[in-house]
Formats: sequence, structure tokens, C-alpha cells
Amino acid sequence: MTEENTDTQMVKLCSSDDREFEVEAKVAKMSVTIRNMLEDLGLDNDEVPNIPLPNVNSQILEMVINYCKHHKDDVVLATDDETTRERALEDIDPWDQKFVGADQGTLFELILAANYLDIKSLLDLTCKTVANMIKGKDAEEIRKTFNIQNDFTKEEEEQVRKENEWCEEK
Amino acid sequence: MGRPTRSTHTAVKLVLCTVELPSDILLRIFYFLPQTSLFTIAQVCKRWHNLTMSHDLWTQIDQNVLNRWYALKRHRTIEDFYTFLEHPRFARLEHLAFPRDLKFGEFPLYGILPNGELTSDTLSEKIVGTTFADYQTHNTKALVERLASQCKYIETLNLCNSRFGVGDMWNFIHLPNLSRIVAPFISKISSGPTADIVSHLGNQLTDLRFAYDPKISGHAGTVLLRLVAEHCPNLRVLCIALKQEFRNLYHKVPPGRYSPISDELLEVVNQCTLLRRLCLIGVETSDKLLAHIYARRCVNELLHLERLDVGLREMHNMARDVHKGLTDMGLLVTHTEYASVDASVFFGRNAETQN
Repeated sequence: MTEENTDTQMVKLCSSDDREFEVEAKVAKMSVTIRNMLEDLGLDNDEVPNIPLPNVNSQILEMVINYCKHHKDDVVLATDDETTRERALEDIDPWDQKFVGADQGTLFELILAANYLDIKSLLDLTCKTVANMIKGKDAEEIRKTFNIQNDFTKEEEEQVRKENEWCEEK
Repeated sequence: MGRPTRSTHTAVKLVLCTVELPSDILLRIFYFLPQTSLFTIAQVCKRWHNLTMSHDLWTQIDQNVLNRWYALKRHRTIEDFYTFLEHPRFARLEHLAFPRDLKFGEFPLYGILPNGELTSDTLSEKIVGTTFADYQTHNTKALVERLASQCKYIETLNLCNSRFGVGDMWNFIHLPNLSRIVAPFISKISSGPTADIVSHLGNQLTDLRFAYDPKISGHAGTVLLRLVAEHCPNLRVLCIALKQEFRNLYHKVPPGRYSPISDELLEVVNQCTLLRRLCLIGVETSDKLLAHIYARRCVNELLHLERLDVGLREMHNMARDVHKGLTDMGLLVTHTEYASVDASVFFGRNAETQN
């Protein structure tokens, strides 16, 4: 079967809470995990394959599908070694910005889903969003933002501060 | 660490970041931040502190961090810098750059060749005024050896932002994995050490970028490129651009006059068949060279070439069919004004513009 045929075929994705989503294979295949599963199944036009995703709930899966639908025609740029390591935090497009604008809990669940489903662009987008939440804050503000417990003793904290303050972003 | 047993939905979600986000994801997040932020992150909690020491975050050191380290206490020496590099977080450093104002000291003229012999700048003997005794007291040898044993993983040497003396390139001759060199400027007198390192690296050298001016550099480029053609068959990237300060001269060179390095470049193109990227900006290459590159490509030599950067001068020197052919192949990237050649295009990220 040609690549084009398999792309327009539909597949069923089943969330952890047993909701089924029918999407084009092209959309589903943005996830490397799903793409590999589909390849293992050996697609046949007659049946709609059913992919169980026990690690993703329906709310998050729906968001991920929306993201993939929006980006399904993106051209993946060939990256050379010099650009891959560029730390570009500012260049998030407005649609994506709105997409990840939900609450922190949802954002973290999206990260875990993108990681599990192996969707690199979504993982980068969500990680960049968290990075932007960290950037420009001091240690105490970061702890507050992410509800992190300061587990240093007074002495350790002082020591770590001394070791690092010379290069802190101010 | 277990998941806290708080029952409200939001509380569980909030602790997700600290407890549930796997380390590799936190590292991915940290990777998007400027390195200076890592020094703040290290103070948040023990887990984050340990993660900021991850070698993956420190394969290179941002120029900002280097400059802040230097600014903390002026008159730091190269020894101080090597001590700084001993921090465990830098144990897998792959990209070596230097703080902008750090100097190697007053003894840049000698180095040690792989066979243990002392070398001097072969191209300008007369400026070599120091003696072997001076050399030993200055302890250059110990420094060269220290760097080589300490920085085993260095692949890229970026001297763009540094002030280096004539023979400083010798300081890097023993780095066991060095394969990429970005040198700010090859002059008549610094070409000796650079030539030494090129012939010493041989097969290992894959990437060489330098600024050059035919009027200032004299023979330097000629010698260097001859050595590259002879010793470096694995070269993937070669970038040569006219030194920026001389850009005014660049537009005044009468047509028909070609750089003395054109013939050597021809030889490089013949020998280095793995070339992936060639950047020749303002070096006044001959039409013959560009036609040769095109012809080689047409007969399926230079198969890997995917980008050829040229400047205005090279454009003028190019025959129409060669221009069309290279354009149709999607190889040609033209820089019509030297000013438009962003330092990062030529020198890679992390480079500030040299003045």
C-alpha cells in the first residue's frame, strides 16, 4: 500500500478512560509511538485499526489530537547541528501559545503525553513554555510557581547560594 | 519518593512538576534556558541542583558565562581558567571557547609538536625572539599538557571571542578529539601554528573556519590550504571570509584580479571529496574555481556538497551557466553585502561580532 493511502485511512485512538477518537492516519502518525504501532500492525484498508493509549486520558488526548490536526502539514525542517541547539524561547507561534495557555496541571500532563507519544514538536513547545515560566525568576519565585519544597538545610542553602550567585541571571 | 496522598485534583497536578516529571524532561526544559539561569535553578532544591550538573547541559559554555566568570575578578590567568574548567559539570565539555579578555600571557611563540620537538613560527622566524629557557620558565608545556588531559572531549575550538597571541594555536595541539576549529583571523604570523595543528590533526579535522585577507595574510592562507588539501581528506566544512575590518577594500578590487588562494582551493576541492559546506566570501575566488566546483558536482564528485556561500565578488566572477547550474542545484547562497554576513553564519552560534 502506498504512503498516501495509509495517510488518508482512519485510525481509532482509545484513551485511558475508554473514549474513542477517530482520526486520519496522517494526524495520528505525528506520534512516533503510534506510527510504530501502526507499522507493526501492518495496515489493511478494510479495517480501522484500534490503538489503545492507556497512559493518556480523554481530555489530554483530545488536546493532543487538536494539536496534531493543526500541525499535520508542517514541513519538518532539516536541522543542522548549529540550529538544533539554539535556545529559542521567543519564537512560539500565536496558535501554539494559546494552545498551551491552559493551567499548569494540564501543561504537565501534555508534556507527559507528548513524551509518551513521542511527538517532538509538542514536547519542545510544552518544555519551552515551562522554561519561559522559569526564566527571569529567582529561586524562591520558582519554588512558589511550581510548588517545590526547599529541601536544603540553612547551611546548604548558603553554600549553594555562594557557589552560584556570581553567574545568576539578574 | 512517593506521590503525596493529597486528594484534591489541583494539588496532585501541582506536585506533578517536582515529583512526577522525569529527569530527562526537566533536563529538556533546562536545556531551553540560557546557561546563566542554571545557576539560579541550582538553588531551588536538591534534585534540581543535581540535575543542573548534568553533562548534557554543559557540552559548551555560553560566552555570557565565560565573560561573567572573568569579570568577577580581573587579571585572571589562563591557569585560573583551566582550574575553572575542572568543575565536575564541565567533565564532558565538547566546545571550548574563552572569556573575551583572557590572555595567554606573554609567551605565545613556542609550542610542542607531537614528536616532542619544540616548534617555532615557521613563517616568520625573525619575530621569534624568545629562547628555550624562556619557554621552560613560562611553563607553556605544562599548560598544554594540562589542557589535553583535562579536556578529553573537546571537539570544537572556538577562538572567535578571544585575544590570542601569535603561537597560541599550539596550546591546542594535543587535544585528542579536536575536529573543528574556528579561528578569528589567520595572519602572516599566526599561520605557522595553525598550519602545525592542521597537519597534526590530519584525518581528524572536519571543520575549519577562518577570516582571511589577501593583503594582510600574505602567504598564510596559501600554506594553510595546501596542508588542508594534503592532510585533511575528511574535511566537511570550510569557511573563509575576508576579515571584516577590510570590507571597504573589498568593493574596490578591480575585476579580473583573483586571490592567491584560488589554486589552493581548487586542490582542496579535488582532495576533500566529503565537503558538505563551502563558504567563500570576499576572498576573490577565480571563475575557474567556481566552474570547477560546478563541474565536479556535475560528474557526481563532491556529492555531499549541500551549500555554497559566496559574496558579491564571487558572484561577479562566476560564469552565467555556472551560476544557473549551481542555483538550480539549490546549492548557492549569496551574500550581496559583506555586512549581511552574520557572524553566526560564518562562525557558528556563540560568536559575537569581532571588532
